[in-house]
Amino acid sequence: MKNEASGTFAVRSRLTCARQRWPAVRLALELDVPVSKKRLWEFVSDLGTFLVTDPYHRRMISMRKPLKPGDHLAIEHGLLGVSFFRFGRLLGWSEGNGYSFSDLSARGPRCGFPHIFEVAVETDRESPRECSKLRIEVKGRWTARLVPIALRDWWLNFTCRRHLRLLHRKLEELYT
Amino acid sequence: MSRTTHYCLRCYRELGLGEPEEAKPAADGPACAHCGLQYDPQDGQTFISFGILSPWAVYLLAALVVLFGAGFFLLGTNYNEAVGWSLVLGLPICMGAVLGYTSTPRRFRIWQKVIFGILLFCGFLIIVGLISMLGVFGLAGGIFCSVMLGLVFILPFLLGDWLGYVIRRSDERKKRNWKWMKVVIFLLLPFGLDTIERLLPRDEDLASVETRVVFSASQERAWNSIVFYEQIEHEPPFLLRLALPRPVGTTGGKTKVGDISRCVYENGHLVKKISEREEGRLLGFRIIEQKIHFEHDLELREGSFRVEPGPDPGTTLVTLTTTYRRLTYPAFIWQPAEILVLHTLHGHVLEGMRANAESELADGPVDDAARVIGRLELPAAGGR
Repeated sequence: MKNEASGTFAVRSRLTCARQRWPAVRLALELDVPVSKKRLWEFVSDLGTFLVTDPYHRRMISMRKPLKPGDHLAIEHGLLGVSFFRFGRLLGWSEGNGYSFSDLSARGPRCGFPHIFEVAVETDRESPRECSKLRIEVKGRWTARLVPIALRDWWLNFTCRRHLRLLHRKLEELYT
Repeated sequence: MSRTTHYCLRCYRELGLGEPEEAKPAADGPACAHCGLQYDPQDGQTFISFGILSPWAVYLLAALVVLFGAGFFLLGTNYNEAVGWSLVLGLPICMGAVLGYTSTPRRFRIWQKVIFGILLFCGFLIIVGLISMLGVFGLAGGIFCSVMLGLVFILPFLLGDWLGYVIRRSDERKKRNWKWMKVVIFLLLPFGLDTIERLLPRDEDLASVETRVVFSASQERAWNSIVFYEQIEHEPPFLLRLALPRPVGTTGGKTKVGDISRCVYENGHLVKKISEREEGRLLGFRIIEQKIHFEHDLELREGSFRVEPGPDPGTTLVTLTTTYRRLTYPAFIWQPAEILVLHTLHGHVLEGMRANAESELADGPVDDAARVIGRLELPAAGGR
């Protein structure tokens, strides 16, 4: 499934929901940003700002400074006026290219929708002018077995669209 | 008044920030000994800090909770003349919230909180008893009311404790100040809720309880045993012995509509006026005066004895119905207790009547029966 969320602005974005094989969740958000990869990386590598450009992430606390792969992260989430922490680790860091981190429930890695984010920045070689691609992939496991699949899909879609919209707006603010 | 302790952001176990042996080797840096979550002792965002109250502050707080709770109870029951949502749910939730709000993570286990709650409740009862020397609870009703109130309070109290703790956790995470202000708000909140509850109009809530007993006697004998019943001599059931007002007997006439009879209880009385009478079938009455130490709980309005043929030949089905106005809310909490109390009272009275109907006394002339059963007071105007 491919949705063109926006195509008229300088920043273009799309949401890809790969065919979901329950309980696996795999989603991808892609944004074409009309700036160099280096400039885009400046924004993406600032975890404190980039990670909270998300519908549910309120605050990111790195438990070590400077942050390096393997270090813990605490991500404060907010949902329906209730805020709570989820925890994860910075799983990988490739300077200038991307990174990945986990987002797990405080109750443990097997409950509360454990998922990882993979963030990648690359130069868009097909574009005639200087342009970069930001790709965010979410891979996880849906653990709320009582939630109907249709509702789950709607929820994930809704969340990703909101996430995409927030990123789109933020990038437009920054670069256009 | 308080000292600060630090807790893991994930598992809320205490962190030994000042104790190097708690920390893992320097390569990993300090981490929670229980869940392994890293933290940075220099960065207050990576752990939670809670101010632990000193023992004296805890005692002071407990005394405040008891005093405010008792004060609210006395004000609520005396001026509102009813037990409402604010008392039954608002008070224990707010008092529990004070405990939860001032607790630190994992300081108390659930059973410790229950014991703490029971101790607070006992303190609350003592203060209520001391302040209201005249007795908001009568001596007889005290145990029953206390047990009922305690049972009703326990769940909202624990809910309030949890809510208070959640609010405190949120405040600590967000580094909010004015924590004592929240405690004051929790203490005063029941008064506000009570004021709001009093401002809201409430319809008259009438309910009735019906108790049926089969007498092994003819309908006529059953009717006579009801109309000429005067003194209860058999042993009351456990609940009546323990807590409730025990009916002693009845005086006055029931022979025609408009007659007044007086049901005497150990600690009070009811005055009834006969409002309906169908010879041998129905005796209805209205309660015109009630003083049995349940004035805050229910207002008895009317009742009736209905006499019908029983399921077997030679038996009679007697139905005693009491209609009352409910003064205690929420109904779903108190209704079982009301039903239990009224069924117990009904059962005790009907048991006496049944014994009379089934004995030879009810067969004999009315005057003989009255003499043998005994009277508390002779009828004023020869109603019989």
